Amino acid sequence: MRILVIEDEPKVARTLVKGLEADHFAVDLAGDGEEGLQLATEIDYDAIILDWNLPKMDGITVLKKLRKSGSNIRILLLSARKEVSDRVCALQAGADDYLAKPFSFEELLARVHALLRRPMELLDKLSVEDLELDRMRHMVTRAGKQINLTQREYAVLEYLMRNAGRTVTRTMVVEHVWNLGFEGLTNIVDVYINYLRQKIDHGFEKPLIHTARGVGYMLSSNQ
Amino acid sequence: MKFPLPRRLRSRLAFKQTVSFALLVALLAWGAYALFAHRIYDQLDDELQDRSIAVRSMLQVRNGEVRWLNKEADREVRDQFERSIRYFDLLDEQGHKLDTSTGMAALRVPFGATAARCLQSENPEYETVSQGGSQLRLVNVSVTGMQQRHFVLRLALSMEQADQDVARLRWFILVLLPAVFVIHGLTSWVIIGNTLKPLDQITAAAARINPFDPNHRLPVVGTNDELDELSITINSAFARLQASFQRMSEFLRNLSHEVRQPLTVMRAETEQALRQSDSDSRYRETLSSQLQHVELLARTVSDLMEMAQSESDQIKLQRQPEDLSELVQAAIDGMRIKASENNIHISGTVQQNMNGQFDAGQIWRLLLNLLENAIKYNQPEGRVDVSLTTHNGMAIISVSDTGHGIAPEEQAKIFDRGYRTQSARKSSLPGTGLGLHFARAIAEAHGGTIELTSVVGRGSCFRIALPIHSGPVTEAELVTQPDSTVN
Repeated sequence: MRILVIEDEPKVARTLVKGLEADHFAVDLAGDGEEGLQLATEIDYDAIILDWNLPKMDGITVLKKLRKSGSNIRILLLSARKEVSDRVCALQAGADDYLAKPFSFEELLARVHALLRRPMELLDKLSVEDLELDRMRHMVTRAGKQINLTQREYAVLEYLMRNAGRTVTRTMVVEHVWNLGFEGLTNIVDVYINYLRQKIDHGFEKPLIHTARGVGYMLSSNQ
Repeated sequence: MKFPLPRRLRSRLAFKQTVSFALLVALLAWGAYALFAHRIYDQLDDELQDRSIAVRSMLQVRNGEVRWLNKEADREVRDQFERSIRYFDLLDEQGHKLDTSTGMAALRVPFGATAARCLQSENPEYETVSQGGSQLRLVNVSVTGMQQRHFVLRLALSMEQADQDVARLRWFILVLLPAVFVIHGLTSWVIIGNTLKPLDQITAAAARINPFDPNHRLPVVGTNDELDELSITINSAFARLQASFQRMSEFLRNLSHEVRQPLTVMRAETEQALRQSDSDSRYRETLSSQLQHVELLARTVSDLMEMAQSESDQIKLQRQPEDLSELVQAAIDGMRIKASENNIHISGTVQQNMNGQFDAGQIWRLLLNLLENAIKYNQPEGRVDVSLTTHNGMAIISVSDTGHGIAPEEQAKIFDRGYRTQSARKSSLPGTGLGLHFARAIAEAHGGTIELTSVVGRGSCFRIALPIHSGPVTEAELVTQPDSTVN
């Protein structure tokens, strides 16, 4: 997997490159928008991590030019702007995901993995161990026993199951299930995970919902 | 070309005032001069007419012979007559002189158009003739003799006296006008100077002013005029500035406290970990603790950014169909651990299935702010009661605590940005004074209200009323979900 990082701040760039390389990615670094755009058009990357504020050409322009040239490469946009309208602007310009600075590297990594997994076909039924989720009928069963969930609980569980075996961060869950307005207040996810644990794991020998300390949660059949 | 005006307001006003006054007075004086001069010359003509009547009455023309009746009159009348008719002559229709005085003979006035016109119209006709340096006013009077024969009687008077009168009038006006202008200019200067004097005081006071010292303010003279108004307006602007500055510095003090605390802990932990570099797990423990502090700091910075937003910030909502009951219940459940850590009992009465259009993130923030406050500023073994009900189509969330309560004089300020109550400031409890400010902004952005009832020593109750939107959401409020999370 090869990733292009377009970032002009040396410290942030170094952290990104080091971190991604430690996670076994091949990483290229571009220091400004023009260089980034050139690399992105020459080499077939799996994903691009793009900063909004860049010398020579800003991130949004790079993004728009790439999309205009027909590229559908996965792009995660980084920015110090955290206004909801900025996020919307970035997503409308063609970004696949958006992350506000300062961010935790775990968060970034979880999002990059989610991006790279994206072309997964939509299955009608998701299952992990004996937990099954029927998307057509909006029904959840464990060991054949039906479990009643509220709409939000269902949405959280569906997201966890879709990303089964991978850590998802609280922010990712909130953005998917609720909206972008939870900046810094993602503890609502903890409350809902608690609800889900009560309904899904309570009374069963093998817990499926696991906590990734300081990062988020994972639904997995492994301990 | 533009005339360069004096720089000082006083000189400029006095100058403009005087110039406009001078123009007006000059116009008036010119009118008066024209009127009086006309009157003086008119009087001369009237005099001539009177005398012509007198002369004519003394005159008898018979067979081309002129006879003066006054030759038979007594001497006194004759002298009078001779004096008043220094210039006279009598002419027939052809202009032949029948009689003339010596003065008139010397004049050699020709029998002109004016005399002919007088014969036709039979009205007295006036003309001006010059003799040497001086001028004479002359009247032509038609006289009818025997057999309807017409004669012209001509009488003249020197204009010297009238000219002198007019000249005196002109001099009088020319001398008086500049004097009036100068006097007016001086009085304007003085009056304007007095009027603008408070302005100098204001300027002097403004030079010494310190916006953050309430003792240095602009002087209010008490005349209730525009200058007083100016001072009052500027003073109140300073008062607002001072209040906002105080709130800001208060906020910064709170903030530095909030930043310093985690920094102190982080530093101590790092130093300890470095000193006793024994095991890997020890490092991990330290680092994970540090991560928590970093998150705390990040949240503080996030608050700081919110604070830096403009005063008139309006929270932009992303409304979605939301079950408010579920959110309130989740908030109560989410705060249970924190409540029990503080030995506070939290309980909730939540009406179910309250669906409407809400911004879940913002409502969550509002609820957490209120619940955190209720727990933080409570008494040991205290209680927090949360309820959700409906009333007149509004969802009513109430959060009541058994805390210290808020003094009546502080209740109005409690929602101000960065305001913390006296007791909150005295306590060591951290806080930025932004929570309730945002709570109100969020309630109002939803078209709702937030109210406080509080009794000191018994506790406070915050009551939020939110309209339950069931109608469609406007275009502007619709915000697309990030498509990265929709696999």
